[in-house]
Amino acid sequence: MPHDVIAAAAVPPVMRGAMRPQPVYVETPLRAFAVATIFWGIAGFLVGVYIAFQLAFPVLNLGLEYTTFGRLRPLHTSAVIFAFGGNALLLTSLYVVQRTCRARLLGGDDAAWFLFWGYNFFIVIAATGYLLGVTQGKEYAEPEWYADLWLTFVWVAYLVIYGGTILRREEPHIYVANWFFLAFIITVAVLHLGNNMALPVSFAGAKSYGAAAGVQDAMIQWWYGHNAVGFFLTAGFLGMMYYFVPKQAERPIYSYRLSIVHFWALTFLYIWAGPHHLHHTALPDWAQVLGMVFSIMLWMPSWGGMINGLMTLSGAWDKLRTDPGLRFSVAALGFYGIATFEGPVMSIRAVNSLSHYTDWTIGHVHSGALGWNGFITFGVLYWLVPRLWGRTQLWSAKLANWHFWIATLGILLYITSMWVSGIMQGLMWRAYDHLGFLQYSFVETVAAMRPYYVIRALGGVLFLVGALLMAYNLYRSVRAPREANAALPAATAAA
Amino acid sequence: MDIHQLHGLLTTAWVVWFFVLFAGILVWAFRPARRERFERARQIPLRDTE
Repeated sequence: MPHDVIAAAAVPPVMRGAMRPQPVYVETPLRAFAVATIFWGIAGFLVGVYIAFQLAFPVLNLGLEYTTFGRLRPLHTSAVIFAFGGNALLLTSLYVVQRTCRARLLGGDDAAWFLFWGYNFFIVIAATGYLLGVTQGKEYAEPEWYADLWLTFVWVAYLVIYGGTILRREEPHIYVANWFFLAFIITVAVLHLGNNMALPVSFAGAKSYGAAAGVQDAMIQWWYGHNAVGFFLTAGFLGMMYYFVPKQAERPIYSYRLSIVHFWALTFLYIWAGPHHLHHTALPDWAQVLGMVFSIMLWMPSWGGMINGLMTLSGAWDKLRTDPGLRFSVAALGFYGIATFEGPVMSIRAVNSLSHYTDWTIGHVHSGALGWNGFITFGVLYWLVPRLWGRTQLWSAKLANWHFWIATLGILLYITSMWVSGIMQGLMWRAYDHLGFLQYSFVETVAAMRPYYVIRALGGVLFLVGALLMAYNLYRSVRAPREANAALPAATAAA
Repeated sequence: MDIHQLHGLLTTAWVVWFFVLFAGILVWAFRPARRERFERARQIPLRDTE
């Protein structure tokens, strides 16, 4: 055995792959994560569509406390970010860490099953709480103390399992995708603990009060909130990008140096950007300016990462015509570029005075969430789901193309309608008449936005329809007879 | 030196330290000697065929 190791160290890792037996990777629980990703995605999109229609047609609140916009909205955000996005991140991180480290997951199948049930149990207790009106009232951190404690336990287990697998690695170098996943796991742990310092009112009751108050509480909340965007929705999904885009394009990442600079620049800068959520508030001016400056600087690493992903395709652009999964990934990088350009612009205080509290912000969030997080996840699922069930081909590339174009049209309807309604809303709020009175009452702005709310909801319907097509396509792919694809792995190996 | 002065010094030093650290990372990443190792690292996802 030691002789083996020495021999293996002498040859480049590229060669070594062919010579050493591959460890037995944990896969069955990953299928559960894939199913959960699709299930929660569709559930979350459905609730999103419903609350979008509620804004246009208030009668849909149904006159029940459980189905008001205020309770369904956190259900939507948590379902898409933490349930859909979270299961996708668990799925891909556990898949990628084993393969790039050439090591079986620490704890094996049991550990992965614990993460699956533990994390999804957290989702269920958080979601049922929202409907019953149990909430901390902190955006993206609504779950009360008992759910927070359980998540802390699951998350520490995740860190141990993930980090332990890296420590067991056969591959000497830790591939850059793992750096991003690890930054995501560690930072989310710190954010979660920092923002959920709270004292329960009683042992048996759900209600708690946060340790901080006033502007300090607001700053901690947006330090959490923006870094949830930065490390959950950005760093984690960049981890996916750095593994699955090269896999789909069958080419190595464009520049490994750029990926290192990308990682550290993103990590150094993101953590300071939170105050841009509190422009023109009681937060001290210096902190607001600090948040603005760091948000603008973030543009550079963001675009560095986008360029690194896109340039990976140089010489392989023709694959976009034939591989619908890759098309999703590349469009995702495009939306990532749009959203990370728009974000810094909106963080400038003068721009923010127009955009803040308007629908422009909602449009911005969704160009990132639907375009970047949604599309990169769809791209990964189209590639990964058939493979997790021992197939290499999609049931229908044509249906995946329909998904792509329907969903893209949906996103475009969503973000353009929100640009128009958001900027209009901001301008109406600040319009004065010649006597110095506000020109419009609040309800007039609401009435003016209604047509755009309908357009936005239709965009959401298209995005949801696309996801349903994907679910059906993937179901048919994994039910397809294995024999039909039996020749393919050998063909890839020869190529 | 009282606690407030120390705090001021530490926060200033923190910015400088981060700046130096990041510059160090840039130098590390762009050293020509690392080219070959990075070339191998790039290939890690493509080793296995799936």
